[in-house]
Amino acid sequence: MNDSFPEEVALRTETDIVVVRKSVREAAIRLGFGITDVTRIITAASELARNVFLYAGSGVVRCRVVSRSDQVGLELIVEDHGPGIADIDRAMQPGYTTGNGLGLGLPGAKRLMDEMEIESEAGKGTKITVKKWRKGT
Amino acid sequence: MERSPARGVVLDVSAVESLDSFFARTIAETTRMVGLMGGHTILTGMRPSVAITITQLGLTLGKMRTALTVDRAFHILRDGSQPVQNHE
Repeated sequence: MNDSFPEEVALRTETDIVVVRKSVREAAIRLGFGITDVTRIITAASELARNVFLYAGSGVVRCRVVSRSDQVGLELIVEDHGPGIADIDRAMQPGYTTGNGLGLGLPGAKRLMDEMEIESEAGKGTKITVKKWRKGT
Repeated sequence: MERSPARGVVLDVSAVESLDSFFARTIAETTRMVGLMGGHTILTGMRPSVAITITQLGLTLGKMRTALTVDRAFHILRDGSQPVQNHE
């Protein structure tokens, strides 16, 4: 069912986070990730989606299959038009939060995934791209 | 806790496929509230994939008492005439 990629989930309410988790889970399983990697990907997606909901109010999560030489992976793009991240370096420090969270979302999502890229502009919004490559064959 | 003479609360997460920091915070807050009411909270049934993931995420749930199964948790609560020793 490759035609269902890329998938896009709009984040408007808190329950949309559940939809994100579900759709990312299905995509990761379809791509053949093992159970622990599936859990890592769902958890990272959940952290990033929660951030959108908390800081920007709304946004979108896109999920697609990516490939490089002999590997395939899953890419998640989490984008919002919220206030942006003022200090990305600080936001990446475990325990740092401008809200009242635990401050684990961004650094945690980075550890759970293989690659992470943050583009953010004050007042314009934030775009976070994360990738996980499937190991083995 | 209020309505019954309960010694504690067992939170079984065996059906939980993923646990993020928000959920972890809810668990930690529940544990604190139960503790304030004189009870112990025991988290049970965590899947290996979830344990690996939340550790990597940076969640410690350090003070959480855990058990492999609900049966063991009840056992701990029943025999815990001396207070259950929390880690840390």
